Amino acid sequence: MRGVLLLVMLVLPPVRGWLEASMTAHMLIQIPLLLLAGWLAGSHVSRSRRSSWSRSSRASAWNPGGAPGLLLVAAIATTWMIPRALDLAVTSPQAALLKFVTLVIAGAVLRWSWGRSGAPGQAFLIGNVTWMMAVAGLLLRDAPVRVCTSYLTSDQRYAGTGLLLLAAALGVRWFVVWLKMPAPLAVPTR
Amino acid sequence: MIGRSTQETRLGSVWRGIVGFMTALTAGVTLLAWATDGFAVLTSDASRARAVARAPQPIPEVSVRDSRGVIHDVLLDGSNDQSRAVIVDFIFTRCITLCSTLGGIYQQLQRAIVSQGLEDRVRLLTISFDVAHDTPDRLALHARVMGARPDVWSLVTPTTQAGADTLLQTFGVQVIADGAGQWTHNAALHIVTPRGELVRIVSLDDVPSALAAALASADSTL
Repeated sequence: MRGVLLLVMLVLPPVRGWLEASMTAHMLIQIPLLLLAGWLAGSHVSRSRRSSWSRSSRASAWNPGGAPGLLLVAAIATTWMIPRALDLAVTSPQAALLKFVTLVIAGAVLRWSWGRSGAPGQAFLIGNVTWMMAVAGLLLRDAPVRVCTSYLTSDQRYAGTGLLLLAAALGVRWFVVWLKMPAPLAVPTR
Repeated sequence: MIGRSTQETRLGSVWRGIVGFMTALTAGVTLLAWATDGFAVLTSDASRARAVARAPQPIPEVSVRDSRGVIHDVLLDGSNDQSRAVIVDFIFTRCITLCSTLGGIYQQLQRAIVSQGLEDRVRLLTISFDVAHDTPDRLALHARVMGARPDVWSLVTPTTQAGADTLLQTFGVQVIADGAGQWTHNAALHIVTPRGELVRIVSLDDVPSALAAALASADSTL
């Protein structure tokens, strides 16, 4: 329910307009919140059904070790860091719809896959996404020209700094989790 | 019996895993290909340049006022001379950042055109999108400051905001307010054939390519 509420709030035109008015808010607030909405909605789906499809072993056969799911999440997260995709998301309604749908799906799939993937899968996702964020952040900070036609250079630099900080925070946070992980969890569950 | 059915279930689950993996891979690659125009570009500007290079865009008729106050169609230079390729850029004269860079680049282009005797094959056109402010007087002042030669470099402002918007959209220029009373816009050198088709978009730092593309488009029309 919380996920649906969050999604409804993010879809409201004034909220959407405000969050997409700057590249920084777009990349560092709206996109993470859409993932969070998907994550929360994913738990709603699994709790509302007694015999949850997402927890059943038949369903998990499609997502062995959570690997396909994490691969999809990495691709979706990477897509919405591409400057052209961000431009399209604010200029084309179809692209905007695609952004909302794919990020919510990514959030839900992340929840479905994260627990069953163990350290190797999580390391793949965290490594991939934080690396992408760090590279994108450095490029945005140093780019001599605007990479998005919809956003200003100063905004681009803030977004770059934010991406770098977020990448560092995510990387460190996961590393701490990994250090505390009991040995059996460090490998994927079937 | 039991052993076989367990084996079958295992096999089924392996196949499901492979299908799941391929589905995720296909969806991910498709999404990334969509965002990057088939893994070719990362920015809208680059995508726009590719689209134009593949399929030339006709420039719509938009009425503009030049620095002498004469009203004419955007691609006519007042003398009805349609035998020259045109290099087009967009500015507003109050601009204190990018437009002065563009001005410098246009000065370079003008020098190259004059020194190589290309005045009858290529001309320069600067379009202001500041409809309310850039009157003929202001354009004339800007032309004087820039040292624009009337036979090579003309400056115009669309007569209506709708006209300006049409041109910005056709050329793929996005103008955004920067909150300090100025505008920011993506800038490039747009090559238009004598027939009035946008055929190439060249980045600002590539003056030789812009000139070469303009000459090629002038020749191809002869």
